[in-house]
Amino acid sequence: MLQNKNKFHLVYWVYLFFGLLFLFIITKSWLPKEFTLAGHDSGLPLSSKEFLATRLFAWDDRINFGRDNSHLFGSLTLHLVDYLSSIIAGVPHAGNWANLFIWLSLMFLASFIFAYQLKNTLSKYFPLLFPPLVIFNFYIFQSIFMLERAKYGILVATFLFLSIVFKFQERKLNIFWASALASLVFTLFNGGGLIGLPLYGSLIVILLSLIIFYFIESLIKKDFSIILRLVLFFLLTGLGLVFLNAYQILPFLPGLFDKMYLAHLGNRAIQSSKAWVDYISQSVSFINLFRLQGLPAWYSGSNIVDVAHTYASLYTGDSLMVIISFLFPVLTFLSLIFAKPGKQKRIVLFFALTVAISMFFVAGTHPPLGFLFRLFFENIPGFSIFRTPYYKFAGAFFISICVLIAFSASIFIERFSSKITKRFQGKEALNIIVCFLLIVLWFSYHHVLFNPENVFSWKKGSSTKLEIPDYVSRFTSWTQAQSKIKQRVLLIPPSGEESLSDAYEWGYWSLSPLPYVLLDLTTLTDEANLTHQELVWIKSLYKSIQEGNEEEMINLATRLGVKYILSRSDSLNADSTQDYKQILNSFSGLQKIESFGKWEFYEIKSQESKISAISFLTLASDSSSIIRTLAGKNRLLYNNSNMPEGLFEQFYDRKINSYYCQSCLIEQRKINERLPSVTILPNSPLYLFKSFNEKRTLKNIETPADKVHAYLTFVLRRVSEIRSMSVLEIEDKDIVSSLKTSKAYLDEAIGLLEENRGQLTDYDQARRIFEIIEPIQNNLRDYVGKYEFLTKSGEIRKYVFLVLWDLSRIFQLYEPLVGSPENLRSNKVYYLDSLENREHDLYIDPTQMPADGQGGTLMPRSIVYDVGGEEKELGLDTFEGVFKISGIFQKPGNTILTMQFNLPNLFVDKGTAIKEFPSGPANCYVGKIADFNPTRTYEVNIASKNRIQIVRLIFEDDKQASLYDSGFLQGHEEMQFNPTGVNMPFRYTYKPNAFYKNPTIYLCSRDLDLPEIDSVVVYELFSPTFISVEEGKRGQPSAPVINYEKISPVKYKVSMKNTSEPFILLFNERYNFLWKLYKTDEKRSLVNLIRNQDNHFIVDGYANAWVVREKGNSEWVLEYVPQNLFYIGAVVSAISLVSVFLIIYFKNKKRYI
Amino acid sequence: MKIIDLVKRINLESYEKRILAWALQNRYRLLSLGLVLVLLFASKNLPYFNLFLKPGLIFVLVLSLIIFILDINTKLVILLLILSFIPCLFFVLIGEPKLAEYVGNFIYIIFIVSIIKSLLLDRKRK
Repeated sequence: MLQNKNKFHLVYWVYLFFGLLFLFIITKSWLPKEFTLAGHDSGLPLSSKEFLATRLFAWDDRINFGRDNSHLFGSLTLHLVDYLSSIIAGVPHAGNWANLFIWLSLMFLASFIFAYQLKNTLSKYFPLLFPPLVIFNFYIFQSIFMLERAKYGILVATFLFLSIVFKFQERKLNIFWASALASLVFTLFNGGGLIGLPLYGSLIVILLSLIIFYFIESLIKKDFSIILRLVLFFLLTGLGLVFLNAYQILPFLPGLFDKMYLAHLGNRAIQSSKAWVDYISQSVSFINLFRLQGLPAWYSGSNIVDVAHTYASLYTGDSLMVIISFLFPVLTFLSLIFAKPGKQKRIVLFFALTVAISMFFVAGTHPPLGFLFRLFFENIPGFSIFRTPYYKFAGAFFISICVLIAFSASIFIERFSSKITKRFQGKEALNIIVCFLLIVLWFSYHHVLFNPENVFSWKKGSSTKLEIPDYVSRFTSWTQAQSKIKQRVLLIPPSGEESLSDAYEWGYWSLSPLPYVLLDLTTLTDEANLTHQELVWIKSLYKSIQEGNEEEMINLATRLGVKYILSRSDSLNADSTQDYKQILNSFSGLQKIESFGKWEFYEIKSQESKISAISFLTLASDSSSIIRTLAGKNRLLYNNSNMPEGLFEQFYDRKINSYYCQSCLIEQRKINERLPSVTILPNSPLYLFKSFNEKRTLKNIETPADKVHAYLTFVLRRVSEIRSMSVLEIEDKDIVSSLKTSKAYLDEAIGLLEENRGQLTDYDQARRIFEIIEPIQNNLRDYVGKYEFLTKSGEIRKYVFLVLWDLSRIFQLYEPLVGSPENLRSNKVYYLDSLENREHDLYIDPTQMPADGQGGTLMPRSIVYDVGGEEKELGLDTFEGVFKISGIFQKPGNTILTMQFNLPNLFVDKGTAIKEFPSGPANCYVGKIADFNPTRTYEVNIASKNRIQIVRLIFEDDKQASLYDSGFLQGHEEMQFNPTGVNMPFRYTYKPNAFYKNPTIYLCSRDLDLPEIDSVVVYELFSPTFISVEEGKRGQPSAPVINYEKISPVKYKVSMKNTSEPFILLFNERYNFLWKLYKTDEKRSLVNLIRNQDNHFIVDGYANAWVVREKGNSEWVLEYVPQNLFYIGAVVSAISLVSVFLIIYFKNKKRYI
Repeated sequence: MKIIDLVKRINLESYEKRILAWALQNRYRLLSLGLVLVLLFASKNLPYFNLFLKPGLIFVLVLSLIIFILDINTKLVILLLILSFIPCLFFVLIGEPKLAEYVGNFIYIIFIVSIIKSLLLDRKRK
């Protein structure tokens, strides 16, 4: 027997050898030396050594204006493997065959170790079958094109962890030894560290399954030590992990105080991710999962296969493949029948339970249980990190279902052999051959995964397997030899509005620009990770180049610390069509340093150091382009920076304020026709809680304006309840009661408005009120017009009329302020009360003015200035490219400025046309918008006497595809309406898609008769902002000279000499509150340093700045403090690692508990 | 003729006896099941319960209750679930994935019920 066992060990060794050899051969053949994997979302560096070095610092200053790296220390293990693999493969890039081989082999070995633990319980053939199943499947290979090391690492750790758990539960491992081993495993294979937390979804599912399974076992055996022991093991493992990972946890902790991190988990993040979760989950049905399918990348809609996917159509459309796919659930279910009572049944049941639990999580928001997942997603703090449920939880599903399939297959083999062994001697050999045949069958089904063209393809025609062009390699080598290139390099062409991706004609495509993974230079481009303010500056710089404005380009480059330009003519970015090369060569302030074929490197003749002193600032209200123009070369401090005002008073040389159009608030208010949905109605016993909450809310509101708003909001809700009750034919007394309360609330609101007449001149308050009462009025009017209303009791009808009358009274109160829609459209009203009492100039950005319909800008008919009842007409001049109004003299009292316009009709009639619709041909009026600008909003007014017709309003741009590639007319924006007459035309607010060039407006009937339309008028909705500039009190003394030395990306030494006056020290890197400036001889604890926020503020919307009041000579340190925490954490981790090894070494000293 | 002979050979009395014996043996279970089902169908009309007790859910609950209360052999349930994949396969092949998905949802729920039953009842018995 023992001899037989040893013989089988030899089989396992041979199996392992040939398994690894197989992986070696395929990875070598997939990725020959001249090829590399790069791009997409891989993060695979093309210079692995340099990239690894960047991971040793908490700040990465190579990317745009610098980026916090403190949450990425955990990725050191992954990038160390990248680097080691590049040494083995003899290439600089990480996307090499050796890296691929290492990760596939690690998964193979770990899955074998796991399966080997179960060989006595399940079957001795199980370790032979399980590894190929769990590695060669669509889930693992869907991400192999980007070599998702983090995911593979977690899977390796999970296999080893499960092996430890089973050994531990069998009491073959001491709790300390098991915990030490488990924490060591998760430290080595950490899924990229804290940034890879969502990848732990699979592990969470397995932990949940373990807890449920052993809790049930404890219940059955009435021995709760089973579950307690397991929980203790988890806690000890967690504790070990905290200590072992101190090197990545400690630097991350201060960042938790930063709102940016918490925002990722907050309500806004949840709301914005909901649609994405739905999209990912749309085809992850249980039946697809049972068949090992449902991968989101395979589908473009619910059960609609994405034809652009390389092989999805084969597995979802080919009948044979479909039939084979149903064998997997059959084998899965058979495992429950085959399992023998006892230990085998326990193991099978545990994995069946894991399959069931993981399927719930993998399916995400897909019905029927998707509502539960959504509940978790919206209500469990932190759960929102699982916004791609399939990819985050499917690991647990595939491990557990492969266990069941491999087990069933093993039992088949055993039963097959038991049938024929009576007559056959070579039983084991035959069984092994059958195992091999089953693996071959599995591989045959997954044959597409072995085709190198498919493996690295992420959609048809797009692959991450690339051959780096010679000029790119030459450029990389050249930059490595150039130690003087330290300032920022601007990438040309920009990524462009539409994609914000970086693509090249030789195949590279990624949202992450190529230079990030290629170069050790600081590069700057308009990529997705920039803040709004950073993007505004970079776009301005690109615009200055596109317009050939050299002076502006030099100014902006100096401000942003850009010293070089890298021009890439092999780029496929959206703006690459422009001839940048010609523009760059025309700039005299630009010098070409070196040419590398399609890449050219330029130097800008500008002087700007990363750390400098400035002695004055411009205080600005926002970051609009006109403010940047008026500020000139001055650095900007936005007055929303929440800094104490007195701190900067002496540094202002000017203040720029914005005055927004007040009447535009009401003109461009949201028009909401729908009533809010209500679930609990007044006849429900639960309505008591609703009423109580309503009363409490009203009691707690203090300001009259908010009280009016609350009263009207409750009326809105009650009207919705009344409409619902009316439909459900609920008793009249409940409806009357609601109407009476609504009437009472409206009376209260009117009373408050009449008492506080200041509200009646407040456009913002008027907007808020109109947005609430318009849907109430519209819905009640609609109700009154229905036959059903006539059947209602007299009391209901009476109170409905009274409510409607009260609503009219509110509109009447605002009549003097609001006037007619035409009045609002033509007159733009501004309140200038906050201007100082002296003469002022006001400026307007010409780009904010409306189009005149003839290619120009529409100027106001008149500008009336009303101060304290005294009216004065003003003129508009042009000043440095902006409009200027002079002679505004502020006096105490109400100051109103009104711009009056004669707005043109922008509708251009293009006649009629018969268009094809899926429902048949229809006759349409066709038109265009004159001077169309996709960034503007338009109001379309359609007048028609015929109210009973249905008119289709369609906006179609030439750029968009027709419906499902057919010739049918399809607008991205399409709606139907019944005309509302001539005096009150139907109004539609049209906000075009940002990428539209020249959309066509169609007004169609439903047949070949033209719709009856009397007039179509298109107006532009606009709200220009007035800007005032106030000169500061301070002169402009010269700032002191600052010398600095860069020690590392996280530390600078700064010398200040002969400083006499306070000044501002500017550090031209992205603002982060953890950058600290302190004197060299200052003794401060690390905690004190982190807490201290004195003097540190944001300049230009992104850069760090401090007020320095030190006089004379002084030495300073500018430091990014998470780096110090990394050093402390590394020491803690090292000590913990030694302790873990000691525990493992002395494992036999203590017996099992 | 052969079929008629076959039918004649079936000992209906014996089957009847076996069914009656099973019913007698499980009389309390059958009563409990009847009671629970009556309660379930009654609650279908109660306010708030009617919001979520849709036909699909009721069907699943009835199946689950039958499996649990009548203590149906798990192997038999699993076998029936395996057979349920045949209509799924058929629906996928004829291009009706929504129907396959619908059946798949029931299979999943009953699969969970079977596992829980195995964990709680079958193992307890052993």
